[in-house]
Amino acid sequence: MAKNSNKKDNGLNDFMLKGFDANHKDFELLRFYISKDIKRIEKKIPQGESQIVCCMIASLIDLLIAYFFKDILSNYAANAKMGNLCNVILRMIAIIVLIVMFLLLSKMIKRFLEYRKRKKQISGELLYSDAEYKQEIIDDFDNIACDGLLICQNYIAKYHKEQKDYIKEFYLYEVLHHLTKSLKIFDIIYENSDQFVSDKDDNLIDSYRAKNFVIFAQEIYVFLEKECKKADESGIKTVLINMDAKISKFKRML
Amino acid sequence: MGRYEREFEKAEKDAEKFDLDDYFAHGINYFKCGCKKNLSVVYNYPFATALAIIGELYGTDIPGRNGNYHKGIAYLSNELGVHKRQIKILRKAFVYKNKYIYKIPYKVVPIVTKMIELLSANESKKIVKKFLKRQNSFVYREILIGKQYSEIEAVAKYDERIWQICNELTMLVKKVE
Repeated sequence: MAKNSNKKDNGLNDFMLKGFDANHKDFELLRFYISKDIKRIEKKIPQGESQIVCCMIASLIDLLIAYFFKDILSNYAANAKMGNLCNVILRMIAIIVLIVMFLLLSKMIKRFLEYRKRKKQISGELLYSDAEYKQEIIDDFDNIACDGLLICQNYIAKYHKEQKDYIKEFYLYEVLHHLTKSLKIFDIIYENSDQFVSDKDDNLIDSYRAKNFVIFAQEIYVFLEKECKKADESGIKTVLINMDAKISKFKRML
Repeated sequence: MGRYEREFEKAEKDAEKFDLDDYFAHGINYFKCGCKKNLSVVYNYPFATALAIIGELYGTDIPGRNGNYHKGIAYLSNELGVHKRQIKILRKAFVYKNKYIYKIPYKVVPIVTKMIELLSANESKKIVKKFLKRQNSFVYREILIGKQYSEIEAVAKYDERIWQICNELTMLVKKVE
């Protein structure tokens, strides 16, 4: 009976593996996406370091203001011949003002630092100053762009075997989606090839890999062009034209 | 060299000339993207040539002795209600912290849309045919601002306004017939 249940388990495992068609590449992709999600969650958690910087700068400014106005406040209280109670109230108001200023200043400084970082991301300067950012793009090429082409190839194989029209359409749109994503990532590599493509540096992308990517993408595009001819939707035509334009551009590196 | 080739060459030379407006092209109307250490071609010659063609075809009423390149800019500026500076800025990359960078006006979409409309309406004209024959792409957007578009696409995710601009530019897929 134990042997029978073991056979059943193995049979179930085999069925599940065949059904999901999982292989090493799929697991590698799963690992990559999980780690990417973890990194994204980590980014959303308030960055302790930048908060400390904002608070330090804000408190420094507050201290300077308190230092410069300390004497003015004392002289004013003396000249106005204020009683102790009035003196205390005045100082409490000053403290409240300083606390409010501290909160406002730390928010303003945080916003300013975020604005500066975003400006650097938009301008593209990070490519030359942040090695982690550059590595992220290379990782995207390795784990999203290249695997995207393999996913497309997989769907194309299933498309040719499938009989039902709505499932074929699904596969077709998946190929469109994954190829679009892959080409978008490769466009960054292509436009900055002096930073990303090198046969001498192991950390960068080899030129023969980049060229092979273009050839592979071209083949997938040819399939899409043929199969999407029947599609009436202008959205698909727009996507195809953009793809064609990109691949024609990339072919200059062949 | 034919007459049109001379026009194209003149437009390219006009684009390369010093322009004081370039120093005023900053602030809320522009954003910078596409920082590069090395740039094989600093000037966007097809864009400059396209401006000259528009000047030749539509700028005949524009007074002044300026060439077709400047007439094209003036025409577009009047039509779109956009400052000339915002049009001219797309003709080149700028030196920025020992590197090169593109300055993009937030009104890039109406500028490029109008240029595509004017050029595609005159595709049968010899000057436009000659111009299009020299280009590497068959999509107008790629011919006019191909490099800038790639850079905008790469950074669209960081800013909502740029994302919107990228989406609108992506829809501009008018092909050369």
